[in-house]
Amino acid sequence: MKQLLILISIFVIGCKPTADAPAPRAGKPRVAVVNYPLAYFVERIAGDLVEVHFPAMEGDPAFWKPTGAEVREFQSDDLILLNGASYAKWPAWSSLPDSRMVNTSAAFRDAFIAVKADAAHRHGKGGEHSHAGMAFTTWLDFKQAQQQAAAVHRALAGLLPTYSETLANNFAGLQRDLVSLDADLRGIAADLGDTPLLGSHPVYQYLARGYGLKIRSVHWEPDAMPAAEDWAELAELRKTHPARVMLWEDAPDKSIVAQLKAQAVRSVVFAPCANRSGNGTDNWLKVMRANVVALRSALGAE
Amino acid sequence: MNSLWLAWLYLRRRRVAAGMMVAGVALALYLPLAAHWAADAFDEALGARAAATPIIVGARGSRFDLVLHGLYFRARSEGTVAHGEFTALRDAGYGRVIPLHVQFTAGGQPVVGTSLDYFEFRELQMARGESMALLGDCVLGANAARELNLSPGDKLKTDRKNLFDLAGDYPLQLNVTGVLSATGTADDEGVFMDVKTAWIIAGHGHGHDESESNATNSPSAKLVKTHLEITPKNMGTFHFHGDTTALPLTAILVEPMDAKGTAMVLGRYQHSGQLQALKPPVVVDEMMGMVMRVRQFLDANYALVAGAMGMLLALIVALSRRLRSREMETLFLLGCSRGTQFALQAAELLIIFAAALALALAAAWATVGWARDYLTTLAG
Repeated sequence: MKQLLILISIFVIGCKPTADAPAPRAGKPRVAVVNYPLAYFVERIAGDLVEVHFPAMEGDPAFWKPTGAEVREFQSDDLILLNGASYAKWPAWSSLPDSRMVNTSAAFRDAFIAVKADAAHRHGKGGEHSHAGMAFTTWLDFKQAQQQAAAVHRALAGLLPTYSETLANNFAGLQRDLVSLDADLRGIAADLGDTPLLGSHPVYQYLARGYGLKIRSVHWEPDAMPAAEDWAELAELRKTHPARVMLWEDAPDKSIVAQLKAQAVRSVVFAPCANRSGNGTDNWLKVMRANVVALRSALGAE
Repeated sequence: MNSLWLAWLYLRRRRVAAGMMVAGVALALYLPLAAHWAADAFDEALGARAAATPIIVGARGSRFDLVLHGLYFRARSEGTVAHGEFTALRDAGYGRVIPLHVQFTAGGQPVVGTSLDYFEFRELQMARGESMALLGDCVLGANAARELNLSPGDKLKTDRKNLFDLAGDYPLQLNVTGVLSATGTADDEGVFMDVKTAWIIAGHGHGHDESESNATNSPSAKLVKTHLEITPKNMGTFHFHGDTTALPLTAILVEPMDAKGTAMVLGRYQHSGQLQALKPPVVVDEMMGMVMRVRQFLDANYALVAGAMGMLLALIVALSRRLRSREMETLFLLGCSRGTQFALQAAELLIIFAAALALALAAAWATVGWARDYLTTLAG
């Protein structure tokens, strides 16, 4: 009798509804990233072995504000790669599975650069944002980019243990490219010496520190003519920092280029490439090489 | 067979007396049976949840309190563990690490601040709606949803810890995004949310409404506010001041991937003055050891009651035989042997005991079945 009752009890307790259980996603593992540099690293290291989840975001992914549905898309991913250094604010407002998240800059978190509170500003159609907190374009120091790529490789190797050799080979190729970029930039930096440079936006902190560049930044947008007070601020800045090259995140309007040229300031595009390029053909490495070439040509012109 | 039939007919003729005897014997059997089965069910439920929770890390103090807190969300006031400890454990790669922040209630149900990993760890499934996604979202356990009469899309305010603390924290309005399937465990009672939302309830983080920055002569928004609400508009303004690694957790659940991981986690806190790592199965076994000792005492008591009941029954049988001496004499004169008479009376007793046992088993089974949900949450 008791055995019968125990069996009935086990049956009653053991009957859990399963109809609503989320079905495991078929096919390749999906790896989510919060910016394009990480997406590029994943694509280089894992190739077709994974599906990269990097949803279309207008503007800088650092300031993306996902909806609940978009966050749930990330929740179902097999791996979520974060940039760290407070890049992408949205994970701080979202529920993501800790066990599947990897902070790719954790290895150098003690070397993050703190940014003082600044005025909030707006990029094009995007909402207002501020750069206060940590400088987050970590990959512009290519030594740090190598460490982030290594973190991506480790995470992918954990996800795809059977493809360790393929991943290792691909990673070695990526590291060679990053080392080459680093060497090129170091050469340019040596030639630049103490030459002062301007940044159109406060995103070059790690570039400046990594290569000993003397960069001071303003808060200008490439598609918006600076106001009179912004030009006055620049003039004031150049009294103590007589720079003749301004680095831009994106190609500035011709009118801005002309007005800067009139003041003997050359415009050079050094794109962080945090998002996929608009034309969809230039990958992150191409953009970084173009950055290096542009900086070298500016140096030649100097 | 004839004896049983005659005994049955005899008892049917004396329903009241037979019924009283069945009830008396059934009651004597019911109590030990129900107590044993209830203790077994409690042991089984507690043991199963403990076995599914390899290690709990928390502030030093009562081991029982920490384990019951981690397993059943029971309130605990013996300190916290810094979030930095959670990240250190996670980064060490010993296995799955899950934060817990259980300090508040909403509609009387425990508010459980945790991560999505908790749902995977406990194999919780969504019955209705979707998982929590943003700050302010919550998912209800099956019983919590029923008690509060809430469904996905509804709102729920957290309870104020002290109604008379006018300067205290405001309740937070939560968005119910989903309801979990019933599991028959303490998870059915919980109001689950991201640990960051729990920190906002605790006042460790806050946002800014546009109205707060308006320099007008109108009353401050804070003075007319009755609760906090996280909306898509103000979500981006929510932040935590100070060192986020110092933010408090009330416990950390650890599921090491192997024996080495278990040893590493336990060893990490062996000599810690502030924190302890416990193996819930061991602590629960210890707790159940106490329950079993109480049960042994009760068993001794039941044995005495059973003895008294046996003697009483013997007396009743003896008196019954005396009262029925003329009836037996008549039966003898009709040709019924003494052995048959004895068989008749034995059959009567057998029927009474069988009926009493069936009644006691049914009652004990019904009691434990009815109380199973209560028993599984009894430790909470």
